Amino acid sequence: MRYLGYFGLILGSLIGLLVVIVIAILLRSVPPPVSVQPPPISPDITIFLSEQSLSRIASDILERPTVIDFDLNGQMRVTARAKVGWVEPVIHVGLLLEMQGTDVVSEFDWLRLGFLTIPARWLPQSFGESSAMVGQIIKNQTPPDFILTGLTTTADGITFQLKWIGQ
Amino acid sequence: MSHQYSFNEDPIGCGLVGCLGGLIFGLVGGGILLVVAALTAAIVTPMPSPTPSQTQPDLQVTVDESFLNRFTNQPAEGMIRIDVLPDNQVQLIVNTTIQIFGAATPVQITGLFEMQLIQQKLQVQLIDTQVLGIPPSVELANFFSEDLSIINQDLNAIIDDISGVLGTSIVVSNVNTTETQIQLDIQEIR
Repeated sequence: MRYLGYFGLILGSLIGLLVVIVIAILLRSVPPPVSVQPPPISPDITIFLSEQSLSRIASDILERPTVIDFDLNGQMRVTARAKVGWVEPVIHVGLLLEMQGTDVVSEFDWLRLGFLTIPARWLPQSFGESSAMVGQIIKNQTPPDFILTGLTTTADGITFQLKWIGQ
Repeated sequence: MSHQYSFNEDPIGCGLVGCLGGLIFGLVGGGILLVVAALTAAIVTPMPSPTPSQTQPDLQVTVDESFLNRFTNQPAEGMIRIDVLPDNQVQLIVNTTIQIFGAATPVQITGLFEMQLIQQKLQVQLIDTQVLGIPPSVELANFFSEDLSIINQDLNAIIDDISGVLGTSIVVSNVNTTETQIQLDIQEIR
């Protein structure tokens, strides 16, 4: 009767593999989140920055080739090679930018390794902490006497809307 | 008297244990396989290069007329108003008083300026000056001449500041005005 045991082993392995494959497929088909933007306030100055310029700036800051892509609804993707052990795979990090009052908040959304997309909730909190830097950098770059009133992203780049609050 | 368990006596149990073992093996092995395959794919994947936009410049700055009017330092007496016009023109309207034969006379001096790109540098040029409220004998045609050089210096300083923030050399590739806005397109020099 050991045959039934072998049969169970094979069947169990197949079910296990199937479960892993289904999880991988479900992870890939997670719909992108949509950031909630506040109602627009008529801006004094509007600044558009292209993906290409931001990628160059990010490459200079990180001292390694970095590509930044934007999509609608505050979606941002940072692509760079990162050291994992003794290898340097290309890692895509998905962030979500949204306005909270006059502050920009960047939330870590997902991490993509090859074809595998891992949601933020499956990863350690430390990943999210470094992602918050993006919002902080944007805040630091806002000129004095100006507040950020709007932020929109398109496939071409990012647009900041500023209001002057000086005298 | 002890009884030794034998799988031969319980074929269903034997199958279930095998199935459980297989499930654990499939989940763990499949998971490891998936991660290794994904890591391998990520290692061999070349770094993508940023795609330049066909429709948008590297940097675009749009300034609103109402902001310019609030931002402008108003004189102690009188008022300055900026009116952005289409075709890259801007009107500067100055209401002030000047002394003519000892009497304070209210005047309105209107300067019409044009923004042009000369050798990829933004230059503001005075097109016309009109004076209302005083006799033509009083010469005020050069009223804006001094301001003009200051405006051009300030504009170039702003472009230099933007270049500093971006960390690269830039040129103004296009200037455009509407009834209420001035729009500058800026390209990085690569």
